[in-house]
Amino acid sequence: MTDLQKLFKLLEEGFRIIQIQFSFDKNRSPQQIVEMELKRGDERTTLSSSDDELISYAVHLHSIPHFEDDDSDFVYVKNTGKYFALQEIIVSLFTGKEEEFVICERNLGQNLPELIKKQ
Amino acid sequence: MTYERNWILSEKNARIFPTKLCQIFYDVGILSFRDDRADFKLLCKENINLSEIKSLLDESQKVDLAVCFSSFILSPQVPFKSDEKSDAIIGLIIYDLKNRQPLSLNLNTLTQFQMRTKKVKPNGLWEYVYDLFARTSSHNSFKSYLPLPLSIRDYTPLPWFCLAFMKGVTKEVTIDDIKLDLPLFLVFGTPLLLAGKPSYSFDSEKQTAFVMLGFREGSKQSLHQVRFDMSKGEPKLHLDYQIFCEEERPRKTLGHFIINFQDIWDFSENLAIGFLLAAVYDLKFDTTVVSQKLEGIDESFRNDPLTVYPLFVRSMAKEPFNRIKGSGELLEILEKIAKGNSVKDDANLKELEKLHLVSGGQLTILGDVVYRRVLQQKNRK
Repeated sequence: MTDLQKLFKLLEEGFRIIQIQFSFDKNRSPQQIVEMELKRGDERTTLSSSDDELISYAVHLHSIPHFEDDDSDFVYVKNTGKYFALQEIIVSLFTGKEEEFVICERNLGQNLPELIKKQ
Repeated sequence: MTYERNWILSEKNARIFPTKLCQIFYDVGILSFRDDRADFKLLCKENINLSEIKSLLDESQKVDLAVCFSSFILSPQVPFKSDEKSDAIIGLIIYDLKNRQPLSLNLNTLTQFQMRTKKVKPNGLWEYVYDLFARTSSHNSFKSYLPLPLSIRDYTPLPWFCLAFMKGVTKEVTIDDIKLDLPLFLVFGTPLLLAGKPSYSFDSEKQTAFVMLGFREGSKQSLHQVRFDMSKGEPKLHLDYQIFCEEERPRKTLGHFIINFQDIWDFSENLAIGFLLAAVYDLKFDTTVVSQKLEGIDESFRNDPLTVYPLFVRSMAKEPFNRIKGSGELLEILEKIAKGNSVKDDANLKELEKLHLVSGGQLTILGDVVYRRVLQQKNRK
């Protein structure tokens, strides 16, 4: 099980990340370390890792703004790529770059242009 | 898309005599196919009886395809009252009669059209209908767009209308034995512009809005109203369908249908984004509807925090909003800049630039948001 999978497992078990810390240790390789503190009720646990995947995920989480929902410092976004895509959409809606923002697209059950061509 | 395009083009110069109002708002085009034969008929909304709508629905089951094209105009009472703030709305709905579902709904307020097109063309409102038609269909698909831009007073209820008239409601709207639905209401309802009645209103203070259109029930004329409301009976944002008929008590065929944010997200994530983004410019929507009266938003956030991410934008305005609110000098300068006046007050200008509210002598988007929110709060006092 990778460290990222371990994190997802803890989250599924009801733990919430309450702190993320990044540090560097020049004496080891890889040098970057992420340390996550998790909480479930009164229970606490930590996850420390230099795994690229987990660091990348933690960097994303760290950059996501906090909504005041519970005691934690982070929101839990499973798909961080979607978060950044959403951010981009909102910026383009406000700047007027996005003028044609589709909210629904439906097709006819039958091919209308073909039916017309038959006439 | 030849038949309906030709129809729309043919309506270019048709007016309701002796006014200049476009005839197209009173017509419904129905395109049908049966055994490879096409038929396009034009019906006048004013002449259609509710029972005839039922017949049309029944007939549509016998053909291979039946699609309605209907443009509509929704407006406050004309002539406008001196304190009227609501804008008029122009829209186009395309409805699949056979499968009983809307294919597309596109609408914009007049202000939005003017901001989009910049220059109003000679055929006025017809041009807007044609613009909507041109944007709606491509190849075999029908697209519905979020009515943009966001930065207008009447933006808030537009996503509500998109939801009601595209998604509809799960409860039935039954009038006598006719099962109407909300999109059909929009397709066949007669405009009220020339009848001296309001067909649209948005009360930004109460955060309520309605769309009202005329119908014929037998020999009687009635007004049907789709209303978004928050009341003592149901404090959450909900939808009512009420019928007003002369000499009769108003009757509700649908009451207190609660709008659930999770349903909006499940129907269309993009519509849900647009729905919440109203909270950025509309302080009352933010502080009343979103925070207290919108069903399902807390659950939606708990299940997937991304669903409420659009609200983060308004929280970005919180700090500069508090700063401006507490400083008469800064507000005065911000107001001058918003009105296009040049400002020489270096210290305050620098402060506004530091808050990212002003750049190059003009309001930034954040500056515009903060300014409007402060103004709304000021006007409320």
